[in-house]
Amino acid sequence: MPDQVKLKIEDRDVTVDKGQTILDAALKLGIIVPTFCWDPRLKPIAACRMCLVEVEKAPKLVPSCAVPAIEGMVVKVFSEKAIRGRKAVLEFILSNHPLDCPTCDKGGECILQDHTFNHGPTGSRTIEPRNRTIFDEKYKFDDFPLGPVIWLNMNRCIFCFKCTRIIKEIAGDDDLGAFNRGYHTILHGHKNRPFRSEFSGNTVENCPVGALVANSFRYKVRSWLLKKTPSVCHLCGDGCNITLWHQGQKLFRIYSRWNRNVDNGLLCDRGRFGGLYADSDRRLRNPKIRREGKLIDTTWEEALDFVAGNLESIRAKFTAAGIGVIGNEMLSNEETYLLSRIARRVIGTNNIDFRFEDKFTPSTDLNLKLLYFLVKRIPFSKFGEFRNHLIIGTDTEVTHPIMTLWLKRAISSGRSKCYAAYHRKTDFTLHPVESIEYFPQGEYNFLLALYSALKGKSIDESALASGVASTLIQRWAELLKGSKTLLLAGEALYNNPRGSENIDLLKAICDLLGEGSVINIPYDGSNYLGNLLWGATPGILPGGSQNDEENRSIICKEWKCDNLPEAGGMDTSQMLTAASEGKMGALIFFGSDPVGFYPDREIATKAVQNASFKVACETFLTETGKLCDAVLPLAPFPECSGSLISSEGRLQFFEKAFDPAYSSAEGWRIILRLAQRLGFEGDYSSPSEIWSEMASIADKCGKVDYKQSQYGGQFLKMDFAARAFSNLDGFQSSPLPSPTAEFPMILTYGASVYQKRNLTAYAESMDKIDPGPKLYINPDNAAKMKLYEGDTVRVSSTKGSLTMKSAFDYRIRPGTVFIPTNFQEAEFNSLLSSKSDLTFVKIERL
Amino acid sequence: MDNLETKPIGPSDQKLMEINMGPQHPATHGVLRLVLQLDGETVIKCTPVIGYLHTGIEKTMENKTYLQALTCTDRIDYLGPMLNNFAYSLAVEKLFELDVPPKAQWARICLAELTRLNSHLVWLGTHALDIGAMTMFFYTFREREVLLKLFEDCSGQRMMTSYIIPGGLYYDLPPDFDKSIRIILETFPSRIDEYEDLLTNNQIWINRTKGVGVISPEDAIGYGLTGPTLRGSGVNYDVRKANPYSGYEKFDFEVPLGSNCDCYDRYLCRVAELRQSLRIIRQAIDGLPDGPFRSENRKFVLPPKFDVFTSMEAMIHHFKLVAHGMIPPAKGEAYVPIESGKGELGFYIVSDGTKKPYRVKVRPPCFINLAAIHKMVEGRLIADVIAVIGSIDIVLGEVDR
Amino acid sequence: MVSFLKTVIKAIPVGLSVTFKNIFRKPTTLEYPEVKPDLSPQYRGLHYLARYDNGEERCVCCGLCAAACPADCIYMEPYENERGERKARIYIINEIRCIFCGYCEEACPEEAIFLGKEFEFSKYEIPDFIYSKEMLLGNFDRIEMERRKKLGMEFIRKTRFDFRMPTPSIGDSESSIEK
Repeated sequence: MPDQVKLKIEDRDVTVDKGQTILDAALKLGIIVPTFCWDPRLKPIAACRMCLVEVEKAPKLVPSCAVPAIEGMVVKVFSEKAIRGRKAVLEFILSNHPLDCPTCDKGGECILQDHTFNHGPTGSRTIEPRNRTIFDEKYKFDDFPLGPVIWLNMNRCIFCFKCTRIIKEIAGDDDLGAFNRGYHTILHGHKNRPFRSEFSGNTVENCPVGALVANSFRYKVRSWLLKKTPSVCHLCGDGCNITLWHQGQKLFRIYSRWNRNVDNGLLCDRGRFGGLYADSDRRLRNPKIRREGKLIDTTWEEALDFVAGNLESIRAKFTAAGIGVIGNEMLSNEETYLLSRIARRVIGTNNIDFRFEDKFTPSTDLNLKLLYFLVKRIPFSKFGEFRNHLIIGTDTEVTHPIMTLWLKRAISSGRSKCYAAYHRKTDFTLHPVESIEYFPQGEYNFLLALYSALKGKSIDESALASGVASTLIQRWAELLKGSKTLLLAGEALYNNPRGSENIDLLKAICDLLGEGSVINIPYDGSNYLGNLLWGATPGILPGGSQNDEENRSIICKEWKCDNLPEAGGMDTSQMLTAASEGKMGALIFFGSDPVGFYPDREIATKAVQNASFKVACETFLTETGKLCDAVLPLAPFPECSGSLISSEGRLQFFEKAFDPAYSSAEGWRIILRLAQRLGFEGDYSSPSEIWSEMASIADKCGKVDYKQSQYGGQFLKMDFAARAFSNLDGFQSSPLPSPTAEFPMILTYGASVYQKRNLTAYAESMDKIDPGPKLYINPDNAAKMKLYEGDTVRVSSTKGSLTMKSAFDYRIRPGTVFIPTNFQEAEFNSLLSSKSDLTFVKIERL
Repeated sequence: MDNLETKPIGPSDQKLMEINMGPQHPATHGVLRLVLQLDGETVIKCTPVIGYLHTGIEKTMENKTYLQALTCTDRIDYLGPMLNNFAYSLAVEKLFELDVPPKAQWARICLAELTRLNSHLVWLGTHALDIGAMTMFFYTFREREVLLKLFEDCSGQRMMTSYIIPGGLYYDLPPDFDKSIRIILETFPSRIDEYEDLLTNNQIWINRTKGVGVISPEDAIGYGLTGPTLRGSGVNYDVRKANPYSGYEKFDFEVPLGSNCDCYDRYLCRVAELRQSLRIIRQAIDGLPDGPFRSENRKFVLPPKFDVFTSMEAMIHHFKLVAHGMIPPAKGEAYVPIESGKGELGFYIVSDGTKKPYRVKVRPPCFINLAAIHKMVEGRLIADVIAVIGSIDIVLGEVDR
Repeated sequence: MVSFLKTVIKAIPVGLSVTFKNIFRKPTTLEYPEVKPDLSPQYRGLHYLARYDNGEERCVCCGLCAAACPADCIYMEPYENERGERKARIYIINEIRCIFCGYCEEACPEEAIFLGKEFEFSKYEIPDFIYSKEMLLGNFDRIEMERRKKLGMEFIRKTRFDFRMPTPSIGDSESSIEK
């Protein structure tokens, strides 16, 4: 074989592909060569010289990580010369390493320690004091904050440059650099700015020494005292595999658990530092019930009896249709299934939904269309096979940071090209990506324009309505035409007043593009897909089947009951609207916070106030919880076990690290105990029992192949019937309302990069990264208003006004402002109204 | 005076009585419980019931690192702590293929023999006290005090020494070690003479011990007895001679043997062993070499404190060894028997390659010697049980573990 | 009978002579509360946490003593003090669990924890045996500072950044500590 080479390592023959290094060949044989700077994800730079090996006929020892294997090479890893060489390298590194082990947080898991212990000298030949470079007089102990979450100690650095290479090669950013040379080398962000990157935590995890230490772990605990539990990140739909490091009931840090199909050993800062919210001491500690107008602590027994008793009486008064359940997309499959079962079977209502952050909730038909796209979905690892990636209506860096890394990898390999369309520029569009910014909520017009351009029709009208130059859309149409394209449709497409049309257009565009083009829906939320599949929407039954007569009878047989409620049922918007008019008896909020996040605070507040009885089950006391009659403490993810289906369609299980802290309880247990008080006969002792019941349902009526699912992360096979997509002939562009003179700016809102709802705000580090709510405004607009960064401004709409600090962001489309939704104190939704599609605001400088 | 002679009395048709001797009986050396079936005063059946001092020490050791587990060994046979340390350290050293510097080896032998003196002195005092010679107790414990003082000088503690560690000694020998040993060597022979003056020809002692607790050599071997209990029956088996460890082959000493297989001969054996131990100590202290007291193998033994403050390499080795413990080079198992004061003592250690032993099993001489007690007392008078318990020299900490 | 009497008569003076000899020997017992025992230099008693000469505590809360402890009696939590140094926020030794093996002293890479010579610290209540950082530093201030000064015992490191040149006799750690 011409593209393979054969070489000899330690007298053993090995054949590797041409271009692979000696180190790869050695690893193939199971020979471990010690390394510091080598990483399979990074390009070799041979900076540390730790991997020196002896090659016959080579005059000197060679770094095995950078030297390609050559036919007939004879390599000795453990010859005396090689061992001596590596020992000398270590001696050289240590000759200037401070004696910091006692104070260094890496002590005990330090690769330098391991290599010195296993390969290094046992004593020093020099007696000089170990040098310390103290470059700032203020910091006597030479640790200094490199960025908001990371501390740097340059003395401990061994210059492997893993950190800068991870940021540069994997995250694709230039946020961190090594400056100066040799002894004076120092790491910092550009122009001495603090180091900020969405992936900054990976530098800490991959640092072989204690030079980079996370703020949240610094001076906290010794690593050998911690236990490790495998888990799955809950903070976005990527489903990154993580390891929880905990001691007792305290979570200390989250590291990546290498899964080469999902995260490749990388984790974003939201998951790494934001996940520590579970450790916050501001959590709800006890069940609370309202007595004489006040929420008071009580016992579980009393609280559950109180809730069950009230629900019984409400059911008698309002019928079951007067009770609504609002879950959230972070619930595990088991919890969702159980919640769906209690709603439909025990309470007897179809009023169940899991989306509460959007006013345009997709209809059942649209939900089924979304599920249909799952039949042909593409795992992250196959992104590189597509010629083009068309991303519409999402900021992938925010919703799916790790998926974005796969996109970046596809781009940097040179085979793929990315096209991103959103109503503003994003971090991702700073990379070699073609980018289009349309009007907020201009998705429909943009898609229509693109569709027309691909069809060769006139696009002037629709392009104008979407706010994009028609030539640009024409250009995209030409570039995309005929090529194998992956369409990534963001939530702005389906959480839209024209969601159904958008998806129809997308499907039509996909059909017009080259062969093999596929639509992928990166769902926003760790278990959005699981919630859809397991019946957390009115129109879909557990197992992913439509709520019709035939499917209901199958489920009835499984659940051993006579009948289930007829089709119908309200989604979140309908429930809240009905409740605000006093038509709902009871509302059950399971981890959801409509008052804080439903895009109309007035309606949500009224709804919660006007419902006769309302109960919230949540980890932190939310705005909704404060108005409820009973609040039950829900344990966060490290304290539960279950399974999630990531937006990629991968089923993954996570394990409980420790028992729920304080008096909180796992979600499935709360649902079960409540159901039992309402007359449910079944009982489960663990999520795995629920899981086996779910598997049998999926087997009988579901569209998911659960039978072959083993306990582990694998791609689910799904089989959904094709849906009828509308005829596009009648589609007309619809111009959006324009701002008025009184309210000249368009308000956009969404999650900020580092945060997940307001949960992550409870993590200590997140305060430092993202300290508070700000109004982001384009510098051009700001200049016109004579606004400076940091000025306090008042934002007002027809509904209300807010006061906050302003910040510049040139990525915001001129004429719009952006408010992150993650800060409860900001009350962004008090500006919004469910009646109108777009919200116009005015900005006043205070 | 014929009635003083103890004769085995056959079973009569009277109803048998079952009584518990212990576990609170002062003469049972701790919490040994013997269920005696008596016909009058004659013991028909004797069943030792053990476990009152069970501490799960083997399991405790399995949950500690190799160095931490050493502290548990002190507490197994609390009369011979250094011998336990010694046996454990030898097993660990075999497992780790760890070399021990000559100074440590010689000092270990010296300390092991001192511990044997300590163990035998306690035995002699308590054994005599049980039978009625109260004075012995004061004399032997006075001499023991000298030994304990020496242990304290070496290790910092009188009983729970943890002084002999894998790789050498925990601290260096004290500066006046030699002097203290010389004083012991000078005074002890005459003291042993005094004990013999008090007991060896004492008619009461002879009457209480001679012909009592006889166990034939065949039975003794059959029951797996070791130590002076076995040698009292005339079987020449001493681990120091049969399977020399730590350089015992370089020493010149004799193995005293009995012939009558009774308590008296076991007493004679032990007293003779006291003298032999002194002989070994003299040779060891004369030949004590100079040099390091701990192995220089930094992969298993902590570096000197001074290096830790000046050298990064030493700091790393120190840190890794303390934080993660000694990690054996490979999976494996090791067993090294030694001759403790009571018999063959050995630690069987199985390693799974992690920092903690997978299994630690102690081969305790007392437990096995105790198993033969019924052979020695059945058919004898109840008073003989006390003499027999004393003569097999049990420590309940080791029996129950 | 006669032989028996003979042995008895012979044994009595022999035994009594031993007793007589011992009348004049120095007793090994001590009048304890009045006379304190003479402790060996290696004796391991109550712990103390040492300070630098400027009064700053030496302990940096590295956790090695807790890792070395076979009895699991040390618990600590670090924090960052106002100068940016790692120090112990909580440092607890449960003296009733402690087996006084001295491994913590051996493990300490900062010369912070030592086992002193104090052995009379009996108390009535078990919680009183849980020694906090302040109590352990107090032991040093109260008892051990004077003793160390009197005996001329020196620390290897005078300050946190004191890297003195090694003396020729490297390898003899204990003697250099206790010199």
